[in-house]
Amino acid sequence: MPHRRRELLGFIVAGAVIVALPLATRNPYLLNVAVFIGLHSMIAIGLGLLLGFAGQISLGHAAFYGLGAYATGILTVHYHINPWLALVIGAAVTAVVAFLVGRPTLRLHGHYLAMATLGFGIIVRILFNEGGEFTGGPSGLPGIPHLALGPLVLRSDLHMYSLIWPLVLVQVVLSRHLLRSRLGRALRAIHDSEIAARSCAIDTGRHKLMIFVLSAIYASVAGSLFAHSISFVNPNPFSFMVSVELVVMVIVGGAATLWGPVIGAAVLTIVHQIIVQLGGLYEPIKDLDVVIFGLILVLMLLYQPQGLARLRLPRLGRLTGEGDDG
Amino acid sequence: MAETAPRLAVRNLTKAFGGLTAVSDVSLSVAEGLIFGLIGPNGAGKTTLFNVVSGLYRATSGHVLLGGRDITALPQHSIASLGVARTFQNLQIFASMTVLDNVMTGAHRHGHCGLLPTLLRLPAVRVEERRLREAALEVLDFVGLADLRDEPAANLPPGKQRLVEIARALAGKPSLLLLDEPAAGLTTHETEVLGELIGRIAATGLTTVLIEHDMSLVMDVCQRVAVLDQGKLLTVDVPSAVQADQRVIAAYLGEEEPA
Amino acid sequence: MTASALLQFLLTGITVGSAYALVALGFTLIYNATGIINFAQGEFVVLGGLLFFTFAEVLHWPLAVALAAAVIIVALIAVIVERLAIRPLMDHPVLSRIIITIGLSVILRGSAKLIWGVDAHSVRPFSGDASLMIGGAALQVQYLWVMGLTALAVIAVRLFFDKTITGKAMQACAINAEAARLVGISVPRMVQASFALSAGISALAGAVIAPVTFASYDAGIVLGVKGFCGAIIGGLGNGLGAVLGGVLVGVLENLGVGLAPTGFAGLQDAFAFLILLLVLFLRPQGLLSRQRTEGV
Repeated sequence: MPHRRRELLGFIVAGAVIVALPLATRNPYLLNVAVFIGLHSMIAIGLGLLLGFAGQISLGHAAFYGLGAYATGILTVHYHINPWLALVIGAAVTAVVAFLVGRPTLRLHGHYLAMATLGFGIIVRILFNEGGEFTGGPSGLPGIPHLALGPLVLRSDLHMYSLIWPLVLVQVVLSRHLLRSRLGRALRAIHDSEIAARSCAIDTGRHKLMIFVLSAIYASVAGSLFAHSISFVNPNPFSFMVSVELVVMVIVGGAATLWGPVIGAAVLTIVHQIIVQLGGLYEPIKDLDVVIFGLILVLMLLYQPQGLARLRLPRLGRLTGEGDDG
Repeated sequence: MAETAPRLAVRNLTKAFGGLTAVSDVSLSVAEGLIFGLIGPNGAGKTTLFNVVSGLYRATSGHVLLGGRDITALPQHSIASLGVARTFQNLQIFASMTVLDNVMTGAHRHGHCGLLPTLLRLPAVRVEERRLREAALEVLDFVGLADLRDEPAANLPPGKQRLVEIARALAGKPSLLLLDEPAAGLTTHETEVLGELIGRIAATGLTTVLIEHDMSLVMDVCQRVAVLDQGKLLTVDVPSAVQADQRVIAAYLGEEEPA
Repeated sequence: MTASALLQFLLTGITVGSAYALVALGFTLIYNATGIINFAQGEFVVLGGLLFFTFAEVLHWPLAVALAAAVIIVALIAVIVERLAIRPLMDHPVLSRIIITIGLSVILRGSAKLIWGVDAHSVRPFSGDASLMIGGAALQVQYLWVMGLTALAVIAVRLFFDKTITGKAMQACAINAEAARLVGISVPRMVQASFALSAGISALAGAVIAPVTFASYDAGIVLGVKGFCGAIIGGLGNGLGAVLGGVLVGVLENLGVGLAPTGFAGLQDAFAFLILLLVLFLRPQGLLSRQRTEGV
C-alpha cells in the first residue's frame, strides 16, 4: 500500500529531523525557535482537526493556550502544586471551559463558533489583564517553577525540545489513529455531507464538540509547557492576533493532513523570526508582520487552499516512485 | 400479524413551509417486511415525507411511529440510530472517502468506542474496527461492489454511487430502509440490476419504502403502493389496483404517463 | 444610581449603540448576499473613522465632503477586496470565504497601523462641544448627530431595497440566488453591491462615532464583535432586527458598566462579549426573529 508506506516515510523523516537538529547545532537561538515551533505545532495539530474535519474555525485558541499557561502558573506559584499535576488540572479546566463555549454554538448550523471563540478569547485576555495579584495583571506572573523528571530539572531549551518534540510525534500518531477509526470516518463524513452523516446516525454536533474540546486540551498542554519553560507568563502571547496566526499556520500547512499543521507551524514561526530579525535592522519592518500574515493567509486560500502538505512535488515523487496521490 | 405494531406508521402528518403545505394530513402504515412503493407526480410531497420520517424536517403536526414508538420529535441522528436508513435523491456520498469507508460509516451505530480509546487505539478499538470492516465487506459483496472497495467513491459513475449509498444504508443493519428514487439517472441495464437488488433486500425481510418514478420497477418489486398527489394521500393498495385506479391516472395526466 | 446617572448611561448607550446598529446592518447585508460572516466588518468602521479624521482634521475639508469621501473610499476598498479575494472563491466552501475575510481584516488593520500609527486620533464634534441638559444628564450635540445620521442611513437602506430595481434585485439574490440568476440578475454584481453598501454604512458609523470615541487602528475587532452581537440578537439576516439589536447592545453595555461595582471599569469590553456569549448560548436564533424556515 503506497499510502501507508508514504505515511511511514513521513514518520521516519520527521523522527530523523527531530533527532538530528540538536546533534547538528547547540545554537541556543535555533533551539529556542525549535521549541516554539514545537509548541505551535501542538496547538495547530488540534486546530487542524477542528478546521479540516469538523469544518469549524476557532479564533480563541490563543486563549486556551493562555488558560493552560495561567492555570499552571497560578497553581504552582500561589498553591505550590506539583507542575505536572498543575498541567493536568489546567488541561481539565480548559476542557470544561471549551465544552461550555462549544456546546451551545456547535449545535447551530453555521459558523457561530468563530465569533463565540473570538469573543471568548478577548474576555479571557481581559481577565488575565485585570486579574490583579492573582494573575499578575499586565506585568505578568513570575517565578513559575520548571518541570522536573525525577532529579532532572527541565531548565534549558534542549530539555524542553527533548520533551516537546516527542509529544508532537505522539500527537501525530494519535491523529492518525483517530482518522483511521469509526470516529475519524464520522468526522470526515461530517466534512463531506452533514445531512448524510446524520442519516448514518452520526451526532454531528457532538462530534464537532469532541474535536473542539480535544483541540483546546492540546492548546492548554502547550500553554503549560510554555509557562514552565520560560518561568513566567503575561497576557501578551495570548492575544487575538496569536489566534489568527495559529489559524494561518493550519491553512498554510494544510488542515486535513497529518503533517500539515506541523509544517505550517514551522513555516510561520520561521517567517515571524525573520521579520523580527529584519525589524532589528530596520525598525518599520516589525510593523509589517501583521500585514504579511494576512497576505500569506489570503494568498494560500486563493492559490493553494489544500496547504503546503498537499503541494505536488513531481520530481520528488518520481524519485521515490510514488507520483500518485493515495 | 394484526397485533404487532407496523414497522412504520404515519398519523395525520402535515408539513408546511410557510404558506406552502407540502404534506397534508397523511396517514399510512407499512407492515413489517413489506416493500412499499410511494409514487406520485413531481411535487407531490414524497421526498418531504421521507425527510420528515427521517428527521431532516420537523413535522408541522401529526406523528411518526417506528415499530409503535413515537419518533416525531427526535433529531435526525437519533432516528437513524434507531434503525431508519435512507438514500438521497440527489446523491450524498462521502466524496473524500473510499467506497469501503463510505459503507463502514454506514455502520456507525454499531460501534461504541469513545475518543480516548480511539486515540490510543486500544485493543477494543481494533476489534471493533475489524468487526465493522467485515460487516461492510459483506454488504459490498451483497450489492456487488466488492471489487471497487478501495476506489475513491467520487471516482465512481453515478450508477455505482447509487449502489454505494444503498450499501451504506444497509451497513447499519436498519429495520426500515427508505430509498429515494434509486433508479434516477440509471441506464436500463442498471435499473434491472437495481430491481434485482431490491428483490434480494426484500428477501432478507427488511421493510423498505421506495419512492420511484420508474413504474415498471415499482410494479415489479412492491407489494403495496401509496399514491400522493399535491401533498395528500390519494390511495394505498396493491400495485395492480393502483395501476387501474382512475384517480391515480388523473393525477398523473399532464405530468407524465404511469408507464 | 441616581435617575440622572441612569439617563446618562442610557443616552450614551443609545449613541454608541447607533454605531453598533450600522455595523450590525453591515454584517446582515453581506451575510444575506453571500452567507459569509465578514470578519473584516470592524475594519471598515475603523477605516471610515481614520479617513474621516484625515480629511476633516488634517486636510480641513468641509464636514460633509470629508464624510462623503470617507464613506465612498471605504466602499471602493470593499469592492476591490470583494473582486480580488471573495469572488475567486465563490465556488469554494463558505468556510474558506469566512477565513479569507479574517485574512483581509488582518491586512486592513495592519495597513491602518502603518498609515495612521498606534495612537488614537481625536476628532472634533460636527457642530461644536455644546451639550444639552436633559433631566440632569448631559446630551452632547454629537450624540444627536450620531442618532440622526444612523436613522437616516437606516431609512435610506430601507428605501433603497423597497424602491429601487437594484435593491429589489439584491433582495432577490438573498432569498434565492439560483432563481435570481435565472431571471437575469447578475449575482456577482449584487454581491459586489452588497459589499459596497455594507462597507459604506460601516464607514459612516466609524466617522460619526469618531468624535465620541476617538479613531484608532485597533478598534475594529471590538466594534466588529459588538456589531455582530447586534446582528445575532436581531436574528442573523434580519436587517431591522440587526439595527435594534445593535442599539440594545450599546444600551446594555453602558448600563452594565454603570451598574457594575467600581474597579470593574476595565471590564467594559468583556461585558459586551459576555452579552454576545449569552445570546449565542441562550437564544442564537435572535431575540427579535421567528425561527428561520429550515432547508436542505
